[in-house]
Amino acid sequence: MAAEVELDGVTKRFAPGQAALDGVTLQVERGELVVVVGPSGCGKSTALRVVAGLEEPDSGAVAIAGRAMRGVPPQDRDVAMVFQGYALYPQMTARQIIEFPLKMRGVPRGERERAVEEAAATLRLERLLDRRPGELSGGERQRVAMGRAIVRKPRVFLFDEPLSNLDASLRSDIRLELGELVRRLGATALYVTHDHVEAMTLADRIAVMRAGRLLQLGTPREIYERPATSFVGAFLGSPRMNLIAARVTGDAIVAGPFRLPRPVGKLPERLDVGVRPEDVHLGGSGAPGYVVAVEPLGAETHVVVRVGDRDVRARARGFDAHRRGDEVKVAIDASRALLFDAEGAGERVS
Amino acid sequence: MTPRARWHPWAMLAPTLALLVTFFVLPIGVAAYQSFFSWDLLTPPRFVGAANYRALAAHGHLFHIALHTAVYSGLVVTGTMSAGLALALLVDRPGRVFALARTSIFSAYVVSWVAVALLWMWMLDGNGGIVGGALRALGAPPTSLLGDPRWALPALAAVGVWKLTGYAMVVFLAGLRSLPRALLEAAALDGAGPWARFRHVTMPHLGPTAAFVATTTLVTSFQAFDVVRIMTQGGPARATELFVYAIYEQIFLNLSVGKASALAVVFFLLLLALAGLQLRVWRARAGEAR
Repeated sequence: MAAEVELDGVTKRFAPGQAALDGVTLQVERGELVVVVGPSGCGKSTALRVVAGLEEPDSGAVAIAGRAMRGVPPQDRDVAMVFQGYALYPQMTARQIIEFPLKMRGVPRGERERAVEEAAATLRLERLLDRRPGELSGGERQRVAMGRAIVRKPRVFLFDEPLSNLDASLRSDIRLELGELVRRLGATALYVTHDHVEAMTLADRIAVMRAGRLLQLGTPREIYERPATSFVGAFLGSPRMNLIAARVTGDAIVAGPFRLPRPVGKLPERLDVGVRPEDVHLGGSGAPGYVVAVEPLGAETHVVVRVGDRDVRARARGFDAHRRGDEVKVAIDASRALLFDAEGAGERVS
Repeated sequence: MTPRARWHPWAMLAPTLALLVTFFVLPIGVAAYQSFFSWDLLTPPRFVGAANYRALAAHGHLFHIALHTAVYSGLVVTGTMSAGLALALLVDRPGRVFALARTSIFSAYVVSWVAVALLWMWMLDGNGGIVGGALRALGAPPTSLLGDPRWALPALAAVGVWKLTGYAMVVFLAGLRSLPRALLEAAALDGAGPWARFRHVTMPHLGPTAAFVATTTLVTSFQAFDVVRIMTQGGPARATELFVYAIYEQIFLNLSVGKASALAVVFFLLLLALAGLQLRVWRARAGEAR
């Protein structure tokens, strides 16, 4: 497969000494949706803007469809972008906004009208076409922004946190629609978000970034089950993965009150043991602790248990019977625990 | 919200109301009353009915004053707005050089009208002035523009533009700075070049700013007095007789309080009509935006 979008060692500095992008290498295959995720300020938006041509990299190269993009202005890159605040022209109607990219490219009127109708039908915008952005709801604006992006059938879609301005209930609906739409169009897309749910649900592959560096690139399952670093492990998944400081003693790993068998191979002196909340079991055996918080969500309940001087997050099915203050025994599933180096970048060692 | 007692809102409004009545409503009322009298400030006033208005209307005098004021204001408003916008676009860049340019251009607005008027009298002087000299080098006669009935009014307007442009530039700069960058970026990705971006994104965004600049410079230009008083005294051949100066002339040079009052009343009605018109435009715009 040919890489549709290619970043090769891209570095971008806005202030000296501080890299927004630090040698990022990333390939997006044709028809693939790659979600770039990370905390705010990690450089994910800059990565998108570099692909769009809104920023030029200081070093490294960007290529789209095999063509080097240095010096190519945004309008000549055959990419469309959906902005976080939608960036809809306030004085234009939805129809004019969606038509705008075609008009700017000199597409004849009849063809333009047909394309707008088609895009509007795809996005169920037909009845809203004569309204201005000020007269549209957040979700409707989002769809107009999508319409402007899809109307000219670009090679690559760029999404810059397209759902973060929507309220929670709407977000999951539109997330589904958006994922379905992008797949139906067979488009290549780079999607930036800080929301791990969006990343997990939408992505063919996820790219996790932190402080300008790409930490890991893989399928959602790979990233979730085999995170490259403790940061990646903690960033994806809710409630957050437990990270318990541990030492290697003899043939065991001692993580506070928990003991795990030592895997074969060389291990660093100090470790962090990563345990997903679903691998923490509350019940008859294990380390003693007491419940400090219970968050019933219906289908599942998040329970925080204080064991010694640390809090351990657990996930139980349905409505859990535990109450705040209850004494419980906590056990972890050692076979599913992840070991990370406690020093440096926190790399996974087993 | 409903007030606890009916007099509460009036109490809140009282200070402003008192000022407005004392300094605006009453003087206009007094002027309206006096416009029906003939009074030279020395002998007792004498009721003359509409004679003052008739005298002003005779020989098209009033019409000429209104025309001169309109031409002056038109030139100042259009000149100030175009120069202000052009400069704002030009200096809206990072860096010390542009910061210095912004400050320098704005500084003209801070200088008093009297100083500006005196400065330009020297500059326009046909013998020693920089502008006058330059014009002479281009073949113009060695007289000041201010001495030529055809050019005196545009020259005054140019001085007004020179002084007000800094103000317009600053307001336009504020408007430009409030333009979300994402809109321009979206337009660039949509395929719009620099001109199309200006026309479809920047210009519509600056609409309300432009309306504000137009309103304020119009008001300022209508009140022009200092430049006329210092540079031309209404001449040559009454070519630069603007409303406020004409009022001044009637009362302090001709000692005719009645005629001055009549002029003031006409001026007031004109401004009222203009304000009404502007309000309608603003409301239409607001309705459109909603």
